[in-house]
Order: sequence, then C-alpha cells, then structure tokens
Amino acid sequence: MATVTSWTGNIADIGPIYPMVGTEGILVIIGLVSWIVWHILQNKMENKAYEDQIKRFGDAESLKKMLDSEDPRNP
Amino acid sequence: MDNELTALGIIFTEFYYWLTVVLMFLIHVGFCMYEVGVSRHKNHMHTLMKNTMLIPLVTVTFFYFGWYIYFAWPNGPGITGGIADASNATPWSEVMGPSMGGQDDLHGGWARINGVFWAAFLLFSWTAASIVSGSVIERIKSSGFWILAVAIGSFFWIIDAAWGWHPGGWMVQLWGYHDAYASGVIHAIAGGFALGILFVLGPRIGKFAADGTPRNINPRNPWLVTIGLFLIYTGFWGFYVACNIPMWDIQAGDGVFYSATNIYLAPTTLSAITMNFLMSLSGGLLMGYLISRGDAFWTYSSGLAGIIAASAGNDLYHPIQAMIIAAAGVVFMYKMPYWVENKFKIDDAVGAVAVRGYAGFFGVVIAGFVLWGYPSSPDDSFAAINPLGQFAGAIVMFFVLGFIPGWVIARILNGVGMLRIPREIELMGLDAAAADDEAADEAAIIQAEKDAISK
Repeated sequence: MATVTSWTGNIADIGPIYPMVGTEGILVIIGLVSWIVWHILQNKMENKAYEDQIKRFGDAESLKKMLDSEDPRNP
Repeated sequence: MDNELTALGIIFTEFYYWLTVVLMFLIHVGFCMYEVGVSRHKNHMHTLMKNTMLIPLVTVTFFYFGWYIYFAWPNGPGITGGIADASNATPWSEVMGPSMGGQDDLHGGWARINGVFWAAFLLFSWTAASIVSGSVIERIKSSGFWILAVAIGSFFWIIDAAWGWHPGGWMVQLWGYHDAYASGVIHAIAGGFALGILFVLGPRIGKFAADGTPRNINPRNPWLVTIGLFLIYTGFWGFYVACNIPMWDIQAGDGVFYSATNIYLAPTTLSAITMNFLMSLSGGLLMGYLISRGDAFWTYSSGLAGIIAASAGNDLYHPIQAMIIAAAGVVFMYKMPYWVENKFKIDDAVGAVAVRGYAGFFGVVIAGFVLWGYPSSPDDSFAAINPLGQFAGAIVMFFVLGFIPGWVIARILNGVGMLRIPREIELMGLDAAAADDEAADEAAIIQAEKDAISK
C-alpha cells in the first residue's frame, strides 16, 4: 500500500507520495458520482422540507399571523 | 531543487500563493456576513447555508474539471488552435496530489506550485459564485442555486479566464484583451450571470408596487453588512496579489531580469498595484458618498465598484488615473441599476449586477482607451490593447459567458421546478420550521426551570 517506504536515497527520484498511486482514475469516478448523488439527495431533502413546512404553517391564518409578527409597527 | 536559489524561488512562490488563499478566504467570510445582514430575520439561516455550501461544491467540481479547462482551452478550442496540453491539471494527474515532482522537469516545478495555484484560482471561483448568491436571496431554491454556482464557479468563469486571462488566451492574442485584475473576467461575467438568472427568477413578493414602483427592502443588520464589506475589501488584497506571478524572468533575448508580472507575464510591481488599489478604492468611496448623498450601503458598495472599475488596467495606470476611473465607474454603476430595475422589474437584493457587472464592464471598456497601444503580452505578435478589442471582450464576459448561460440554465431549472421556492415558503420565511422548533425547545427549557422552582 505504501508508496514511500524510506526517505533515504535520492529524493529527486521521488514523484507522488500519496497511497495507492495508479488508482487516480477510480478516485475521480467515485468523486464525480458522489457529487451528482449529493445534488439528488439534497434536492429531495429540500422539497420534502418545504412540503412539511407548508403543511405546518401554510394556511392563510398562520401566514397572516407570521407576517403580523414581522411588522415592526405591531406592539 | 538541487541548489538554494532555485529552492528559494520555488518555495517563495508556493508560499506567496498560499498566503493569497488565506487572505481571499476573508472575501467569503465577508460575503456570508453581508448576505445575512441584508436578508430578513425569517431567512437568515437559509441565506447563510446557501452561500456556505457553494464552497465545497465549487471546490470539488473545480478539482474535477475547472482547473483542466483553464489550461486546456486557451485556444478556444478551435479559434487559435486545438485543446492544449493540460497534463498538470487533469484530476487524475499525479501532481494534483502530494508529490515531490520526480525527475520530470515540468512536474518538478508544478509539484510545488500546482496545489497553491489551483487554490488561488479556486478562491476566484468561489467569488464568482458568491457574487451571484447575494442577488437572488430570499426566493431561490438552494438546489437550483447550487447548480448555478457550479456552472459559474467551475465552468463559465474559467472558460473566460482561459480565453482572456491566460498568457496564451485567444482573446489576448487576437484582440489585445487586457484585464489584469479581473474587471471583466470575474466581475462582469458574474454580474451578467446574475442578471440572466434574475430575469427568470423574478422579484421577491412585495418588491414592486402594483404600479411598478420599486420598494426598498432594507438591510436588517447594517453592522453585519458593514463588517462584511470591510472583509471583502480585505480579501481583495489577496485577490490582487494572486493575479500576479511573483517572480519571472521578463528579459526578452539575452540577459536575465526578474520582476513580478501580471497574469499575461507582462511586468508590473506590487507597489504599483498597492497604490492603485487604494487610490481606486478612494475614488469609488469619494464619488459613492457624493452621488448617494451619504447612503452607507451605496458608499461601501461604491468603494468596491471603484476598485472593480479600475482593475482591468491597475497594473499600468497612474494612481490618480485609477482614482478618476474608479469615480467615473461609480457614476455608471450607480445610475444603471435604477434604470434596469424600473424598466425590467429586476430585484437584485445586494446590487451585485451593478457593483460587479456594470462596474466590471465599464472597467474593461475604459482600459481600451486609456491603455490604447500598450502591448497586451510580452509576445510582440499579439495584438496591442485597443478600444474595440476591449469592448468586444466586455461583451463576451458580460453577455456571452455571463448573461446568456445564466438565463438559459435558470430557464431550464425553472422548467423542472428547481428555481423558485413555493409562494407560501417565501411568505412564512425559509427558516419558519426551524424557528418554531427552536421556540418549542426554549419553551420546554423554561418550563423545566419553572418546575425546578417548586421542587
């Protein structure tokens, strides 16, 4: 697993020092897929949150009450 | 690095860019504070998270493809040549990870510089996306915004950087395009992109009266806005310095002469850009105060707009020229948004289209006149700086790579229901559920404390 097993010898010969050199292509694919999956999960999560929020406070009465509480002229 | 002088040069350059990254981080802290300060209480947390999460999203995508585009596409491709060699910037390149460089000459240097140079460009990418973020607050869906953030931060702005902010960019070569500190390359494109989105997104509920008159939705926390803008000023120092190459042999032919250069490898000095930064900031603030009659929001924004208006030529302007150009840019920036807002009913919550877009556009165009005839590059075969090239460049930045992609992507997102939050959510506020949950938690604690009295 270790790319480097000793720092003795000619340092100028040493290139990459991270583990598993040669797997970069696979790492990029994993990274790209996880990026896309993140967007999909987040989009679902956001829509669900809005649905729940509308169920809780989305009726006209609750909305009016909330807007009244924002009005700085209300005591 | 087998001798001390070479090592000193490379490690100094590595440290130089690293430092710019730390400074530029403050731009983003400033943006977060600024946006939260402008937004209403009911939207604070969502506004903060919308801006914060563009950081990881733009970062990973800039790693996957943004950095590659900068090195691979300076020729278009297809305008002055094909796809250029970008072996240092592919996400699977060995120098995209920790590396000593090995025996390869090219990678020997890049192994040290690649990561910090990537990071400096990445911080520009965050800035481009963050500029857009402020203008769309309080009604955009985070899911839609983050796709737009990746589009501007890791794709469109870096195309314009490859074309017009690269020593071999085709716009530099053919048009003499000159934009040393990114009036157009970051600011005009981000402003144009934001404007394109705003056309589709529409204004916040209540922004315009029935007769079309705009209403003010004033900043809720002016102190947060103030500190945010000061932090953006502070981070802008890092931005300017990151636009330079700290040490480069600029002597053509025989001999050696090391100097700092701009991104086009043409000579400048840190002293020059330091003076011009401060004088253009001052020109912007002085004019902004006068023209807005002392309005704090517009005066601060004008300081920023002043710097942006002078940035295209701040490697070469005299400091007093920089100050005058900044002041003139602020007049243009201040007048335009009122006309656009009234005409097209655009609700730009932080004035980003004006401060970044219009001032950046102005800065690119004015540099064409003031620097007319200067070489755009150390390569004498490249076109010299000229008004037509700069005007065409400003159009590419603001409209071709900014406004049009912003408008098209926003239309697509709108079509699939990913652009605007539901009307009820906008009315109750994005944080309504969280605020109610917090109130319930607080009430439970208070009740428990009351119960403790009777025990």
